[in-house]
Amino acid sequence: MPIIELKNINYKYPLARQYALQDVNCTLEKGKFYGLIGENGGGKTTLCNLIRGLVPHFYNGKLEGEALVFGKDIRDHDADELAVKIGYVFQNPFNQLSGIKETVFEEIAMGLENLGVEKEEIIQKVIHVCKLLKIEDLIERNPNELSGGQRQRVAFASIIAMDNDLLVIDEPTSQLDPQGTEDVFEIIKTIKESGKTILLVEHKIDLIAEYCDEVLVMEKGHIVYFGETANILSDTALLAKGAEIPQVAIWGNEMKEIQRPLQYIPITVSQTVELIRKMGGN
Amino acid sequence: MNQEFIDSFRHYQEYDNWFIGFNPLSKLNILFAFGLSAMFIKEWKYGFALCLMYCIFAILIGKAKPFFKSFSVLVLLFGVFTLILRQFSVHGTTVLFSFFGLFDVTEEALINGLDMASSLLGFSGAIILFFITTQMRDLMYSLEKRGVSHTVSYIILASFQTMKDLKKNMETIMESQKARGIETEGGIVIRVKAFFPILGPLILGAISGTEEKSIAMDARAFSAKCQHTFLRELKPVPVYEKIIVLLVNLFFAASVGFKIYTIFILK
Repeated sequence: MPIIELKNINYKYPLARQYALQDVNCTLEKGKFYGLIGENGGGKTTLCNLIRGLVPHFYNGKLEGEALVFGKDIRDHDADELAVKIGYVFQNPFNQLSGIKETVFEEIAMGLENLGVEKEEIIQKVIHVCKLLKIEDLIERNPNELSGGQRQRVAFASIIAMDNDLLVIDEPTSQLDPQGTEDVFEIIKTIKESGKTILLVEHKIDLIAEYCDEVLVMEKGHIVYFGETANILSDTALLAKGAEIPQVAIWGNEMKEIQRPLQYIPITVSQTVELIRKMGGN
Repeated sequence: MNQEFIDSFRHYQEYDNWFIGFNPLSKLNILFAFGLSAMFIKEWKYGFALCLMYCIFAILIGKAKPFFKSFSVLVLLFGVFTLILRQFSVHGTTVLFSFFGLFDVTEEALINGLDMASSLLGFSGAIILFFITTQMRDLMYSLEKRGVSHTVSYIILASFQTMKDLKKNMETIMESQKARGIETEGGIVIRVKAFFPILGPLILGAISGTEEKSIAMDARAFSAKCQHTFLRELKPVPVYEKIIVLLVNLFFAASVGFKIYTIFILK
C-alpha cells in the first residue's frame, strides 16, 4: 500500500500570488528511498511541508486536490498524529534542538517523553539510537555547545528514536562542512538499511545517485521527472530543468556522443569503475 | 557509554546538599516567606539580621561565592543608594552629623533609610538565594507536576536560552559589520550608531528561527495530547520538608500578625 498519494495537487501559500505546487501527482511506496531534486524555488520544500502535514495545518493557504497520507486525507489527519508517523529533519542544525535540555541524552529522549513513553523504554530506545548513530561520546554534552554537524546528528537521533514510518529530510547537509556531510550521510545509509521510507531533498547529486531508489525532479512547482534513479540521473535533459546529474553520467553521455557508447550510463563511481574494468577486459 | 550517567535517570535526581535537594516549590515557599516578612516587618534590626542569616546560610550550603557576588551588587544598589536618598526625602529633628555642610544626617532619616534598605535587601537576598540553589528545569518540572502547562514550561525555559542565542547572534552581526568596515568600537556615539542597524537583522533572524523551532518541536510531538512522562524526576516531597515549610509559613503569618497588631492595635 502506498504511504503517500498525491493527486492533482495545487497549493498556494497565504498572500502568495503564484502557486508553489502545480498539478502534482505522485505515489510514494513503503520501504523505498526517494530523492527530491530541482532548482531553488522549484517547490521541493513545499512538497515536504505538504507530506509532513505542515501544509495545511501550519501554513494554511489554498490547497486543492487530494493528498492521502497513510490512506487518509491530509486535511483529516490530526497534526499530532502526523508528528508521530512522519519524522522531519531540515537544513538548519541550530534550530532543530529544543534548547532547554542540558544533555544530549535528555534531548534525544524529549520526543519520547512527549509521547508518554515509560522511562525505562525511553532509556533503552535512546541507548539504541546513540549506538546506531555512533554518538555515544556526545550523550553527556550540552546540546547548545555542539558544532553544526554534531547538532544535526543529534537532531537525527531525536527523530529516529521516535521510530516514525516515514522520514522527510530536507537538505540536511547544506550548512555543514565536508566532515559533517559525511557523518550525516553515514546516518542516512544506516536509516536506509533499517528499511524505513525516506524522502531526501539534496543538491549533492552524487549522494542521491548512491543511495536513492527513485528520484523526483521539480521545476516551478511541477514534478517534471519521476522514476528510477539510474534512468533519471543518466539523462542530460535534466540539466535544462535546473538539476544536476553526476559527473560520471555526463562522461557516459559524452562517450555516447563520440561513438564509444558504454554498456550503460553510470551514475556512481563504483558503476564507472566496473564499466572500465569490463572495457579493460575487452 | 557512561553507565553511571545513564543509571542516574533511573532514580530520582540527587544533590549533594540537603537544601539544594529540597523540592523547588518548597524552597520558593520558604525563601519567599522570609523575603516577604522583611517587607512587612520593615525594621532594620530584623532586616539586617535576616541578611546576616542569608550570608551564613549561603556559606553553610557551599554557595558563598555566587551569593556574595550578586548580593554585594544589591547592597550598593539598594542599600547604600536608598540610605542616601532617604536623607534628602525624610526630615528629622535630631541631627547626628552634617555631611560636609551639604546636608544634615538626622536620626529619623537614618532609621527610616535603614528600615527601607534592610527590607529591600531582606527580600532580594531571598530571591538570590532561591536562584542560586534552584535549577530552572527543576522548578519547571515541579510546576508541571502541579498542572502547569508543558507549553508554558517550555516557553520559560527556552527564553533563558534565547537570550544567550540573541547575544551570540548580535556578536556575529557586529563582527560581520566590522569586516565591512563599519566602526563598532570607540566612544558611546560610535557604539550606538553601530548598534541600532543590527536590531533589524537580529529581530528578523529571531522570528524566522522561531518558525523553524516550532516546526522542529512539532516533529518531536510537542503538542501530543497524551500525558507527558519525564526522564528526569525529582523525589516526592518528604514529610520533614513539609513540616519545615509549614513552620516557616506560620512564622510568616505570625510576623504579619504582629506587624498589624503594632500598627493598628497598639497605636
